[in-house]
Amino acid sequence: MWMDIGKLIRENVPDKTGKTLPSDLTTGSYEFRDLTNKGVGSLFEGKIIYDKTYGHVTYGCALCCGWSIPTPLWYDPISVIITSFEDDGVFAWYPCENQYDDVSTAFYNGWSSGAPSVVTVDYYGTHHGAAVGSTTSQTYGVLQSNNVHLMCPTHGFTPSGSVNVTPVITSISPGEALIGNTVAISISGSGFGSNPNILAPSAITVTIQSARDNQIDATFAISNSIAPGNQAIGVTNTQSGLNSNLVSFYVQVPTTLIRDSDYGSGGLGPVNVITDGSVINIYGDTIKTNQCGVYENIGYLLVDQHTPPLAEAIYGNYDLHEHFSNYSSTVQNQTAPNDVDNPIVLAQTILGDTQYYGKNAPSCPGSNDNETFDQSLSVIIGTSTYPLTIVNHIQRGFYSGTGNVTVTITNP
Amino acid sequence: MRPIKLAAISALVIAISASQAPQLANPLERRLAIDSQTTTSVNHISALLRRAGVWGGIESYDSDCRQALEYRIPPLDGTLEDGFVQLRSQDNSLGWKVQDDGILISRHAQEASLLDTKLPELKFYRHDAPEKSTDKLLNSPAIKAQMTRLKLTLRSPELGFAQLPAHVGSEEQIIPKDLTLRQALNAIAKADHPRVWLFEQSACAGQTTILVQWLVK
Repeated sequence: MWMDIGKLIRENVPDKTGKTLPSDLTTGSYEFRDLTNKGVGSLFEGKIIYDKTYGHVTYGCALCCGWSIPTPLWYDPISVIITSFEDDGVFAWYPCENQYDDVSTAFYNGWSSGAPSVVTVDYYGTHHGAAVGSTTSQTYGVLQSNNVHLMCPTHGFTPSGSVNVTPVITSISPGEALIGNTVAISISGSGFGSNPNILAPSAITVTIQSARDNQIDATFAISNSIAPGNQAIGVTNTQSGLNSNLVSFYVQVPTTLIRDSDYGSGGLGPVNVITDGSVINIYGDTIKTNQCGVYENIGYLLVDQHTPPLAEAIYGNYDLHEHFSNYSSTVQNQTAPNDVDNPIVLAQTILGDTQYYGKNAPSCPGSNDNETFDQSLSVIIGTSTYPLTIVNHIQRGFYSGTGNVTVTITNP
Repeated sequence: MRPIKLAAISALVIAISASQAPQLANPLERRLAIDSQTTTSVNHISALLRRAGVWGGIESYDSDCRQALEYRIPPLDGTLEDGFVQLRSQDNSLGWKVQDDGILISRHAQEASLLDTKLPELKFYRHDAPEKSTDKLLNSPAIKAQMTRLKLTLRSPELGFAQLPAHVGSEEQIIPKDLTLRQALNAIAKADHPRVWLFEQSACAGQTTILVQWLVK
């Protein structure tokens, strides 16, 4: 490359920022830098003529400005998830600008692994986790040093660092569970070893049922005192002492009931009027025989604290507590129902409430015998009670001889 | 010396065995904590039993037409018996006794009750919905006959939420024989997780009605 500085001054040639050299410029200093090759570099300086009028010619050679040792790796230690890839490279200190430069290209094709059974490293320094464990990796490259006295010789550098290949969790199932419950959990992944340990918040008591390298079956006993929402779960490979990535496990808190749209018409079953028949619950189980009256089954789902419509159904073991208030009846001396505790178990995928009004046949309610009341609910788990927001207004009985049940959600 | 040594060792073994013999824990000593409540006696007794994890039965007899009174009950952190004593300070009709590992509570106890009616047997499965077994009991000829004799009208209880039906064949049927209605309800109450039954009899406007309900199903 040839540069005529005199011409640049005379013709007021602007640089890329639009600045020109002053027309009376006679002396100055300069610096060359090779922007494309960070290693040894290929730019060198010849002679400079800066005053053609008087024939002043100056020969010069710029001071070399190479890199100093040490040359750290990007990561030390580098953590590589088993079966995954992780890039590494080399930094070098560049004193002329007082900063680290990325000089990785000078170290391509120099990488090696201390234990290829644990980790392999390719031409570019990309590490691949082969097995859980710890080892080292290193590389070799040549950089121009910044030793001016020795005429800026090139220097070979061999940076090295520790490598940890860690276990990985790919899934946890189920990914959520009800607070205060003990649930069976399966963790899938790789590199757990034969005797892993599960990392969980102290409010989750973990019991491992069985474990192999790619799957752990355990139970989580979730305390009522745990913070609801996402909790971080990990696995330690105890042979290597290395921890996996963390995955989220969602602790659900009961919030309300919603009608199960998969049952009946939007969660409401048919209204059944019987004169000497059976009351059959949502599971098809006959719970009362020889009855005269009217009943309806309503299908619900218990949902968690996610904001609707994202609220997730909750399946678990708990007591569903019913309380009744604002009672009135067309029949004298009838009183509000007593509270009822309904034990619900994990296998119940639908909650079925049976609203029945009637008598033992052959007695039947009168043609205008009916009652109304409010039904409010809460979930009881151990010693904790979680009030649900839902309030139903229930009307059931006979109206001018017609049996009917109406369940209106007054508060969702 | 030898016989004396053996006798001493035998005495020691017997003493250790006696100290390790399992004793039936008194359910009244079960501890529980419950917040302050404004509720009826029946609802509070049910809550106390459920929190203590004790099965039980409540017999309540009223001879007037009043609605059940509600009481303001302070918080409790104590035994089940403490809870009953606390409630009795406001509702002095309350009495209780230990029955095996459960508790029977009575309000305005009567000498003769439908609950004393004898039944030849009861067949049920542990996981049957308790109202299903109760329906069998109340439709038995002995109970129907006694209800007619005592001029009792049966009120329908709140049925509540369904429970998964028992898998017939996968569990053994329970068949207690020669028992009273009270004993039959106790048998259902203690067969599964602790349940609580209510027998409520009220005489009002010349009619005596009864309610048999599972407060903790």
